Amino acid sequence: MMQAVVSRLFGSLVAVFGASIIAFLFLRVLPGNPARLVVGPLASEEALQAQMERMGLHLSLPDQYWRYITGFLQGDWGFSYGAGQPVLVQFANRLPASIELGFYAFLFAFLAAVVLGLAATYRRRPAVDAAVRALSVFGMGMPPFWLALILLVVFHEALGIFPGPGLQLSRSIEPPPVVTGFITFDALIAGDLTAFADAIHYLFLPAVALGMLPFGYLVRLLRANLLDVTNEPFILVVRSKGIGLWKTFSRHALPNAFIPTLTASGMIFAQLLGGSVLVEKVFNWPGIGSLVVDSILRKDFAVVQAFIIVSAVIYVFVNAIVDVLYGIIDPRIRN
Amino acid sequence: MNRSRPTSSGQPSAETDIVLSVKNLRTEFHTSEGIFPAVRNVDFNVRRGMQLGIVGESGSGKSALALSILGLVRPPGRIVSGEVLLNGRDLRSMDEKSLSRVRGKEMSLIFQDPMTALDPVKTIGTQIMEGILHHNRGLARSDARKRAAQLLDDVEVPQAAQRLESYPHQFSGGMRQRVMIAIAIANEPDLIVADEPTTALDVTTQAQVLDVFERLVQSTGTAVILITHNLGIVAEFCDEVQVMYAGRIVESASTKEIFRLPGHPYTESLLKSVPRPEEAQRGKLFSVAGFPPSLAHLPRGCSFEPRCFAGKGLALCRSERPSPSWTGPNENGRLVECHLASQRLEDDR
Repeated sequence: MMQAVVSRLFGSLVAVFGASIIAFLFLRVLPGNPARLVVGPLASEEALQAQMERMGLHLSLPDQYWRYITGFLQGDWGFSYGAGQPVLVQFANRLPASIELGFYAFLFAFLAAVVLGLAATYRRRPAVDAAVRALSVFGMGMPPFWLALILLVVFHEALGIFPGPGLQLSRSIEPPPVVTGFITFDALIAGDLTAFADAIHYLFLPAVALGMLPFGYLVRLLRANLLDVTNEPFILVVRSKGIGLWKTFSRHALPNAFIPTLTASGMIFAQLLGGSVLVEKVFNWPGIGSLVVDSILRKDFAVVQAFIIVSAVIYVFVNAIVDVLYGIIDPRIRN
Repeated sequence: MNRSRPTSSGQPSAETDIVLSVKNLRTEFHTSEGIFPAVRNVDFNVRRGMQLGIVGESGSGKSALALSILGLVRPPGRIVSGEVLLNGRDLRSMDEKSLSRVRGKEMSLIFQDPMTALDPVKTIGTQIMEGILHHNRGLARSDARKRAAQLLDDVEVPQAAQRLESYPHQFSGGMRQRVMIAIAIANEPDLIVADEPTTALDVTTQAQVLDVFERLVQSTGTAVILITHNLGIVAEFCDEVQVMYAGRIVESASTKEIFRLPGHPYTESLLKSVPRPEEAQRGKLFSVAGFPPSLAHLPRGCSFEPRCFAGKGLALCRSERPSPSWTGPNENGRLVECHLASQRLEDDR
């Protein structure tokens, strides 16, 4: 067991290291000189050289990489010339909003998939099943930014049930003291339920817009798995003990149906945590996705590099959690 | 094979002596390819402590009958008519809640394939205790645990107490089938429906598991419906046999009688197709000619007629469905559903 954990950790480190090298190289081989972008097209050759030296671009690639990665580990993620800020500061400002939105989008996708997956298979009502399948196709086929617009038009403009884009918390509500950077968690830590409810109110529409596609995918997977599992003889055996349909589903069918969806859930979760450009744009959400796209367009190396490494860390971390969960719910993997 | 339990011979059985009474039971599967009546208006009784065998080839409706008795037929299948009386109460008129108090308590199921009949992500102990706790509200978990360990010991799983923590994948097929038996006998039911309980096991394990099973049901007086296609197991285990063909019980008699003198041509064919090493040195194995009929398109007459060697295309067999008739004197009375039954049984006498 210990050995497995150690080798898993080592593998994770290798993956992150590999991602950092790829991120580094990709952006170096692209045409265009980032120092030129900083000094401007009219600057003299000397000024350009001086800027390149300041940015370390005169060094060999391995030296550049070494400088970068050692600095990264010490908290120096580089300087964003586009924004005129250290990258770390930008991430600290933007990443929590994306992670929080991604988390709730996943929560929505997952819970909705479980509830509707159960509804589709429990008692095997063909009409319910057809409705759930239609919703799944809808979720997978609907572009998230389009859905985001529709949700805004319907629930904000027309019905006025949910707040519009631009904020994460009503101006009238005092933000909870920052502990984690996630507004809902900070509100809970501070015991401020009003702020929590308000933050959820703002999160709801973007989370649904972002979570609809993964929901469509997950509910499809879960429904198919539940159908497979409920056809297994052991379900009949459980029923023959006198156990009711609901307990049979919750105790036996669901845990078994979860196992094959874990990997997919993990990938979806990791992807959602990394932010989404279009949904963030529509809701004017201060997340990382829009920052990264702007930085790519500006050739703002440092931001993109840091984002790739952070994404790699998120994926590796989420996958490690998935592995642990596998061990917990599937005894066949434990030994 | 000497048992001090009531067998088919003789004394008229009182109503109270009957655990299960199946009356005119019909189960159909409604699919896009048509309606498949897997169980076609079947009648039979199971007396207390009786070991009844139901034999037939694949697709004869044996498993559908088993699940119909427990009320666990799943869509697209459903019971369309008839009664299933367990201890005098009709299970078909009960709601789910009442059924959940009967299943696992008064009757239980042992399933075909031990590999897939246990939940792979729950411990053996949890799965045995589940049924105990369900039917004994208020029982402490520690006591349920003791009972589960006792049951596992009863089915001769070594180191029972420790094995409660194991998962199904850590058990062999034979051991899993023992666990299944432990689950089925946990609440000392009046009836166990065992659907091909040993089919997936090798012959040696089969015999061991069957011995354990027989010892336990006889010590508790539990009646068993053993569904199988293995006539060897029937001969060893059952007091009475019912032969199923295309959803009907075509013959019903004591094990001794049926092996001595099969009444239905299908029974005779089944018996003949058991390989006998001492007789057939190098000859071909006997098999019943043809295939079972599609349940969606049954012949107009006797459903066995197209494969029958006895009728040889008699107009009567082709045009009219035979009805079950009692033949023989009372002591070896049997039920045969064949136009030629009385004639065939006369001939042999």
